[in-house]
Amino acid sequence: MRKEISQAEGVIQNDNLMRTVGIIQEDSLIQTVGIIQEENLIQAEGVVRSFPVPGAEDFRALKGMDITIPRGRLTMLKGRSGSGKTTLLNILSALDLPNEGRVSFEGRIINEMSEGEREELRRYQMGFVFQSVALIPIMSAYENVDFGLRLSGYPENHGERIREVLSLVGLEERMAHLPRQMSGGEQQRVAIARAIAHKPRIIFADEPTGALDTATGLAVVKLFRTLLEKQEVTIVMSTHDPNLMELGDLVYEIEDGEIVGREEHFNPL
Amino acid sequence: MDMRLLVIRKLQNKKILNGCLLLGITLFIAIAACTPMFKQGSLNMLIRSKFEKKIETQNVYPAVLSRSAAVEGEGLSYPAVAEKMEDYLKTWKSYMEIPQKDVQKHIWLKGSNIKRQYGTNDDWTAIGCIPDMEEHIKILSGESFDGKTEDNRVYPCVMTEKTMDSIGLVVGEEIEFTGIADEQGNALKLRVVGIFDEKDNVDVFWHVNADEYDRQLFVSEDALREMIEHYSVEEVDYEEYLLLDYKKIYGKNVSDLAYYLQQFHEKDDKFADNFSDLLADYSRDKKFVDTIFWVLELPVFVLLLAFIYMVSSQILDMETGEIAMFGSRGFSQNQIMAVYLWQSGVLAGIGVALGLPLGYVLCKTAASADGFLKFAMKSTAVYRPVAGMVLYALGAAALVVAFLTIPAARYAKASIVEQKRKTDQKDKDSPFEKYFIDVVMLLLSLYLLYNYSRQKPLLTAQVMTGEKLDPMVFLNVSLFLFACGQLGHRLLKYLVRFIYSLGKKKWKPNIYAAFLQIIRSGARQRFLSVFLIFTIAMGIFNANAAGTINENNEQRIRYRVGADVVLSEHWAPQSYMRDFQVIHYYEEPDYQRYAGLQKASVSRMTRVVRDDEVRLSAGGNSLSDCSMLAVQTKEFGETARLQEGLNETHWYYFLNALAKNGSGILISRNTAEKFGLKEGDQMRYTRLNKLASGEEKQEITCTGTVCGIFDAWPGYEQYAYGYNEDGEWEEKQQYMIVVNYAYALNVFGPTPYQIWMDLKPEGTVSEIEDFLSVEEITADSLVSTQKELEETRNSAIVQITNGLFSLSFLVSILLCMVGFLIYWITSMKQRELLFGIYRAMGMSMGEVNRMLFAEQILSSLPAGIFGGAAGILTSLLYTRLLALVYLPGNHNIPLNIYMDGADMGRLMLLVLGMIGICLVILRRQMKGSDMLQAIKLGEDS
Repeated sequence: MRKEISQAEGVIQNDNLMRTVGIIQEDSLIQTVGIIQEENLIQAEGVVRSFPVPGAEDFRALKGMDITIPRGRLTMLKGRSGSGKTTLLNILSALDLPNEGRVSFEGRIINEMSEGEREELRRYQMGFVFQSVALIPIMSAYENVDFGLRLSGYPENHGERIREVLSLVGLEERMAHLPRQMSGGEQQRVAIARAIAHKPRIIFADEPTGALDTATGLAVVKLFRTLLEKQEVTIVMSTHDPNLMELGDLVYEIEDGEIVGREEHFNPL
Repeated sequence: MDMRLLVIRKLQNKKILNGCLLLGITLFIAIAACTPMFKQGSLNMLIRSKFEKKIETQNVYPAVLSRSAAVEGEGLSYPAVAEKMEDYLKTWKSYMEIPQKDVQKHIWLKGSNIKRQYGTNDDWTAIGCIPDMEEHIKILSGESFDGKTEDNRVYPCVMTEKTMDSIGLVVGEEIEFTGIADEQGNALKLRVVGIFDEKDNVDVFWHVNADEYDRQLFVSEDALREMIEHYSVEEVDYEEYLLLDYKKIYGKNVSDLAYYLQQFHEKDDKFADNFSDLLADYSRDKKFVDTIFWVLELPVFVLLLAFIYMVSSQILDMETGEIAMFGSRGFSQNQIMAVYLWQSGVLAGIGVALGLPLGYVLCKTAASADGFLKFAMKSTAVYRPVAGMVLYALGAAALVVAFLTIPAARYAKASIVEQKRKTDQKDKDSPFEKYFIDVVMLLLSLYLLYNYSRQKPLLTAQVMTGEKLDPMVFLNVSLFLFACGQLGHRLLKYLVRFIYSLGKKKWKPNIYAAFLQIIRSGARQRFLSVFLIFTIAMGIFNANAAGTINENNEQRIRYRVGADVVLSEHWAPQSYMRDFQVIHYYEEPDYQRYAGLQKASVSRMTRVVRDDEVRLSAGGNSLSDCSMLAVQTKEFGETARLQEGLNETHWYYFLNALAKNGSGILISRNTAEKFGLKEGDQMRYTRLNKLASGEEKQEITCTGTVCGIFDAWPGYEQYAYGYNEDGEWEEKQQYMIVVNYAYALNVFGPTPYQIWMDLKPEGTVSEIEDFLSVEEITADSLVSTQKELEETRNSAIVQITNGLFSLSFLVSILLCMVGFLIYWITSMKQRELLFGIYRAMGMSMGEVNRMLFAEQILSSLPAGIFGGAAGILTSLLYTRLLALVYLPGNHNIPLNIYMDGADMGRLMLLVLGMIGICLVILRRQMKGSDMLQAIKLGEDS
């Protein structure tokens, strides 16, 4: 059974949980994974991603991976450098496409989307926190968040929302500051505020604590947990910091392009 | 790592930027190297043109040293005279490094009365000898004198036709010089054996025309020797002429040459030359040429150095991390400096290698300029490479090395933290904006302009007397342009902020980002704006200044000549006897002969009497050396030309007023003011009778009624400049009146008139010259607007001006384009990561493109427009001061600022084209950039 979702100029009018682009294939929404008995937001099956190497065989970064991302939870991808975490994150976030396999977001097959549709998906449904140069250097904290809101066509009062999210990350006082006037941790918190401001379905964070000290890194992940609670969002992050693993609801261990382990933690919201 | 290898790798790493830097350095060195060659060539051309002008106007060989003296007393002998002459020649040659073209010697025995075989006795005649003349003459009648002396010692001689006419001698006639006798008391005898003429009338041997040796009989050298030895000769006169090859007199020889000439004059009162005045004239013009080079090249050098600075700071900015890395690896400050010294040395070395040949090409190109940005295929042989080129190139290279290395010291000194703080500060308001230095500079420049404009008479005198001008007069233009650039950037920022604020909450994300990019990108954006505004404004100013100088020059020539052609035919004075008194008069040549011209090249012509020695008087005051034109009103109105707007009413009204009043006069405004005259007042004017002698009437005066007062008139120049009796430079007023031709003819009788001609569109002055030659009309002068314009266009100074303006314009445009492209390419490279983030966040490619387009529209386009406006403003304000160098002094035609819309249009199109090219390059680069690579998502995973 298919259900049409109305959409006006890229802004979804429906209730937050049901916001999506295009058509939702509701049949595949629910899957039970251990203790997390909730619907999956993203499902990837047999994902292969290889890169051409001049004069040699293609390098297979992902070797037929199956993975699901449960809605409303913090999923962590754990692994050493070069294990394929970032490649997987890029594919799950529609930044890249697999050579083989299938990735679906709320039932929609990403592989089959046009570039424009994928752009819209990223723009309206996703938020990103990058490891390096996370912010736009010419914009203040306020403007960085505002930029994200403008991009997603956020319909409500921007000023209110910006203050709200900046206060959520504890930076309400520094919203007029440019990125270079802030510490690494503060910059990352602004990036998180920007990523969540337009109320996306999911946030992808690639090594968000990579450039931060342990305490700041821990604070960022705790912030993620707060967001799960307050913003009803799904978060996928990659990390190699073993200290943070306990804070994830689901931890995938990746090695050499394959999932070699899966742990579930009970972290009540 | 080996230093050289390190430098090569560093250069390779930033190929585009270093390539651009090399371009700037090469151009800088090329223009520096081109300077001595161009200047030397121009000076060679200047001196050459002066010599050629002398040949043309005076019909003499233009570079002659001469000595005229007499040898007398005991022991007088021909060898002694010849040796003396040879000694002087040797002395001259030993000092003058100029090759000789020819030597002419003339030795003669003072004339005495002769006893003729056939004609009247007692005619004064001299005996002369010009060694080697046999080779340069043709015998018109009889034979040459090379036959042997007759047994009874009668020496054969030849004479010119003129001598034949003067004395009435005939070929074969024997002459006896009664005042010259041998020891036996026999008088010296000569027989005329032939009549000669110059074999070739362009032979420089006849520097003194044969006809000038009137009443002289020429014998062979041997014959003269015998006469001196055997006859009672008490004195031998001689003249010797050393003809220097004027084509080998170059600018560099002039000062030595002038010095030695002066020395010869001081040491030998018999010494003479015919080109000292020409050399002095050249020296005055040389100072002028030096000033032009200074004025026109300085802004280009400033621009090139700004460009080099821009690119090198771009490179240094990008290498901040690298420098810090050198520091962290134990490189000392000196070692880091050595790296940059090496690097700039390599670039400067390549710059010299490329710049020297390029300088040669630039010089040849500039030398072929026929107008602004008009290059003609013409001989540029006088522009030859000079040793100074290498010196200048090396000097420029040294400057470049210093310019590139010294800023690196700042980076080498600072730690990473300090460096970061500096980068942070860079994006804040520059001191120019913060302390309003741009406004201060602008006001200072305007104040200087005001001040210099007030000192215009002094500056005019300085230009005219060849004194060195205060360089700030011209540097002020660059100051103004630079201030405009800085102010332009400030205004541009205000404008962008204003537009941004208009829709602050509504701008789409890409436009929002574009606005913030312009507002926040600080130093880099500022440099680009300033550079764009400066180059465009300078280009426009160059175009307008060149146009203004060329156009005004040509307008003034047209005004001065007054018609297409002004011909003055030679009128031979005549005389007759009346009541035992010789009456002198002019016989008017047949004017009807010119009717033939009207069928061919001339559309209209009229007779105009011009006299510049008229005395004016009114109310007890009088003034000499005033000009009078006597015109036939209708014909004059149809033939002469006068630019409109110079008089309060059309000049035809004056002609009509004169036509209605036979004895009426038109007077120039200054005449009216000088005598306090108004229309209806009476004025007397007196002409000298130049032929008058004895009791003939010396002058004729008549009275006219003022029927018009004009400001400008064809052929009337109100201002003249020159030294007064006290040796001071001064402006002199010229006064003019215009009267009716018929009235003047009636009062003064027939006097030589000029024929003013209006040419048909296809008519040329050479057709008139041919006509004069066919009709055997001797012209005292033939002035043609066409020819004068051509001469002006080909004159060294106009050529230098057009060449340098064109060069300067092309360099500024090239730098503008390259600078602009570099900025965008490097800026794009540095922002690649940012574009990756935009794309990752879901911004489409189209949106990113539109964002970049908006950035261009918000920054480059207004900068371009502002640059255009600044260029026009600069032209309006500063061209007059610049034109002072070329068109000093007041003139009846006020200086008009000439602006060619087409030139400016082309420049603006170029700017738009540049923006277009940038967008295409950016699009291509964007397509090629890997979004995932750019955002570097977890680069270590």
